[in-house]
Amino acid sequence: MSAIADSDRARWTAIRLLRWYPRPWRMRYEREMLALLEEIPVGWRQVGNIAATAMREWMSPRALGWPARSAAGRIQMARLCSFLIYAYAIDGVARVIGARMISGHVAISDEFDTWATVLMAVPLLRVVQAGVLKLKRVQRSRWAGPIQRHPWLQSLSSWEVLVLLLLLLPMFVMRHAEPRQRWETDTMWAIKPYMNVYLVWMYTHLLVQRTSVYLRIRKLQTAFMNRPKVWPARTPSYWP
Amino acid sequence: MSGSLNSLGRFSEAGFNILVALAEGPKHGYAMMQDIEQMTGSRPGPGTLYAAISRLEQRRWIEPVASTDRRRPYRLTPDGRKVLRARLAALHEMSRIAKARLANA
Repeated sequence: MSAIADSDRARWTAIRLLRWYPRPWRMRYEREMLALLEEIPVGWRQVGNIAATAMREWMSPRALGWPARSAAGRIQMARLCSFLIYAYAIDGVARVIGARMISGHVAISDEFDTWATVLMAVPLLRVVQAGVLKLKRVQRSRWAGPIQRHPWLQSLSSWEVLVLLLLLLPMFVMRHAEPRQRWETDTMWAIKPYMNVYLVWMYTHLLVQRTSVYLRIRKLQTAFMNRPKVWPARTPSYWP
Repeated sequence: MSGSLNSLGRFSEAGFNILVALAEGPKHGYAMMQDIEQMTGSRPGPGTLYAAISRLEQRRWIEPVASTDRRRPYRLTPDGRKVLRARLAALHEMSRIAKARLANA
């Protein structure tokens, strides 16, 4: 009984893990893989195998959308890259300001710290708010009417993303300028600059995924993924 | 597109096994998996199988066969046949040398 439950759990996990694969891969092979997973006995070894190969697929240039399979994919990638460049430019400015503050022995005040944290929370709150309004439960509620009348509530414009990313500047400055804290271990201190790189990437991703253009493209792609379960005469190609 | 199976890197063994399995005729993923298990005694992971399939397809060594089923069969292409023959010839040569050395030892 327990073995069966364990196998079911493993199969469920394996099927969920297919979402880890890059979208072009999923468009081409997900159905076949699903059919295979429904037929073979699935254990935790297979789950590990799927997770490992999903990571490997992400390392392929094809997975990064190069060369992109569609105009929509190219737009998506170009937009993400532009926003990332912009965000890293902000981080670069923050690095210069931070270095000047260190050389000028300018200490970070508690007020600055508080404001930086508050400003950093604003983009996150906006992303959460836009996401919540997109929930089906909310879309079906009595608030659906007013929400539909104000589309900006559910998605971000490109300009808004630029402004929200700019709000991160004080936090980036603080991270570059603040001296080592007592509680920070050597490892934490060593990885701190890389954490900033990750922070920029994470914020840009979160914000871009809520932009109206991204949501429109996503809707198109989802419609394609959920197209009628009949194979087209010509198999979509994963490799260009 | 021609080339060597070694270009598949860590998927070269799985790729070779898939080519051998398809030498018999078109097969879908599950049938390939069973065939490989019968031949080698070990079953390839589903992730490894499809990673190898996608790379073989990229090199045009195998191609999908039209199907209404979710289980899409694949077949060897003429290029795939050439690559498989070349690998088998190399293995045959290797095995001949190894046998000769064992006999002389």
